Amino acid sequence: MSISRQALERMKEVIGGDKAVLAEILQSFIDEAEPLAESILSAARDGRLDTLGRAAHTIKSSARDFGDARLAALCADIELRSKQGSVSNAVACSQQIAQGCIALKEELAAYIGAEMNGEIP
Amino acid sequence: MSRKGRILVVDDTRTMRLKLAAAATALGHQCHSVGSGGEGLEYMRANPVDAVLLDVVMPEMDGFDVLRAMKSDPALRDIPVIVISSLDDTGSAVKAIELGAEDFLPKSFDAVIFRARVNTLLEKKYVRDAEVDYLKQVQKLARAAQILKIGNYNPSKLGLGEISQRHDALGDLARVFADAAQKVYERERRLRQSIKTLRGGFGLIVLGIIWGLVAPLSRMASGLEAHPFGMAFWVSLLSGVCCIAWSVAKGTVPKPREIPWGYFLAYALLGAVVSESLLFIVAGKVEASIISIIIVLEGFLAFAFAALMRVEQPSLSRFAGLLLGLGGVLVILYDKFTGASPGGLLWTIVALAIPTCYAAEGIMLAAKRPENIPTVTTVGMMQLLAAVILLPIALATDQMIYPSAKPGALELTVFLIAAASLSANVLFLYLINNLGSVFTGQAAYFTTVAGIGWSIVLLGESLNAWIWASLVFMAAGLFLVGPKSEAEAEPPPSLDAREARQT
Repeated sequence: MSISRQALERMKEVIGGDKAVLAEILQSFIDEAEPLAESILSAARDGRLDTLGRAAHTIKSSARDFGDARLAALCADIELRSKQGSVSNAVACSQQIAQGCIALKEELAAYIGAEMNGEIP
Repeated sequence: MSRKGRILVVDDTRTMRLKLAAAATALGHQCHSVGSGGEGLEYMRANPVDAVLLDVVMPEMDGFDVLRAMKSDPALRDIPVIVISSLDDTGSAVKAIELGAEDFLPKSFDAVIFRARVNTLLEKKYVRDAEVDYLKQVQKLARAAQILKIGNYNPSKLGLGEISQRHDALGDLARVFADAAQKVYERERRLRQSIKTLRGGFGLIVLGIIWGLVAPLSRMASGLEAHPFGMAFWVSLLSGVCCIAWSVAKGTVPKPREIPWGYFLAYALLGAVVSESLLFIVAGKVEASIISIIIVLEGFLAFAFAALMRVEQPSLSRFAGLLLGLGGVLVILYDKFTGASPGGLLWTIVALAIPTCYAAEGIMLAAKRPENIPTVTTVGMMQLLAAVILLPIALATDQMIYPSAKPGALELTVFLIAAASLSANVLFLYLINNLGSVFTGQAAYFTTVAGIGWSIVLLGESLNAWIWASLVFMAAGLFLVGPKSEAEAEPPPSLDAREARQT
């Protein structure tokens, strides 16, 4: 499990405790996850460091919000290195991030389902 | 915080936009979100915004560019901004604050921090708005003081309405200014109205004296066997030529296509062709003093026409004034008709058409007048048009007067009538423009009095005590009618009056 219940509870508190709004935010990431993963992979393949860094930055923010510390750290590293202009293993790193992104998406979808079914207290 | 703030979220990531907007909405604020810096600037220029939550890393126009654009725009530079940055990117936060951002928030903020920062920012914004508003109102008050200093006491020109609603020392000061100005303004307005009445009354007396001369002169001309249509032609031609010569010298003659010909045709028929021809015809049959008396009916008819056409505001006091004037005329008529012949009575009734023409002319001039043509030019064009109409009539009726090589009494009389008619028409038009048709209609009373006086002096006609008694009625009538109200803005009611109404 990558996501943190604690992080999601904190986000729920920030938005005023509205489960429907939380579900909308999570769904927004679910919708964006695959294009983001694709974007970071293609940027790494093509050596477009600017796009690579920005995509990593976006995923990093969401990963932190949802409590996925490992994915956030991977993104922070590649974002920093893309700013410095030296990403030696960009394709490999971006594949890890893309996989983490898709995994995070699936966990969030499962969380929404559980939330809707009342399985989450 | 009870007040609802208007917050703009600028972030290219939809997930973050939704989170920030939901967080701000949860605090009770109104929120609008956009996905780029350009859209954010566009929204701020078109809508009031109290605070901006701005992402730094965005494609095309990033958060720094947005801040630079805001600080260089006087309309946006005072909107406070919180930049949203990652905890591991403090360099960006510092740079944003150096560019003018008020504060920064990490992307993974908690509810307490968010509430504290947003609400504190909004409180500061409201305090600053209140200070700016206060300063603007102080400037308005200073401007009002400048306006008062140059002697303009019209309260509606001071622009103190909004400041007077304040419940503080500034509001007290504005109310003191406004009330003092209103009192002075009302006093000045009454004074201006009194001066206008006096000046108008003097104008009426002069007009009456000049116009009163026409009836006895016409009577004298009939004694010299002058033909009425020939007389009317020469009087119109001479006065028309004088006015147009003046207008040509001043360059005020309009181009033919700019002249409202229909209007001038009606004006010429009422003001010269019909009225002057009738006057010269009746002058041979009726005493000049009787014609002068009949002319006073113009005042009553002018009021009746004005009230019917709603050209001027009728009122009970003005109506009573006109009735008093009419009462004076009836007193004279009662005295004059005692023992009058049937022929004299018939011509007297025909003469009633003369004041009817004058009254209709007065109303026409007051209700609609070509504004781009000066008074003297207007009179000149009317008189020349009348001469053009009268020429074939005089020729067809064999009433044309041909000037003799050696001018005599007839030529002198025609010249004097033309001079009187010209002066009276110009003054008549001037008074109508400045005092209104009803008040100017009161000139008929003075025409009557002057006509009687001229008849006594020039023709040796006799009068009795009834006529002098009727003058009292006429003077009282004139006082009650008064000039039309000044066309200036009414000041708002004074504070004292408003408070008195509320209690």
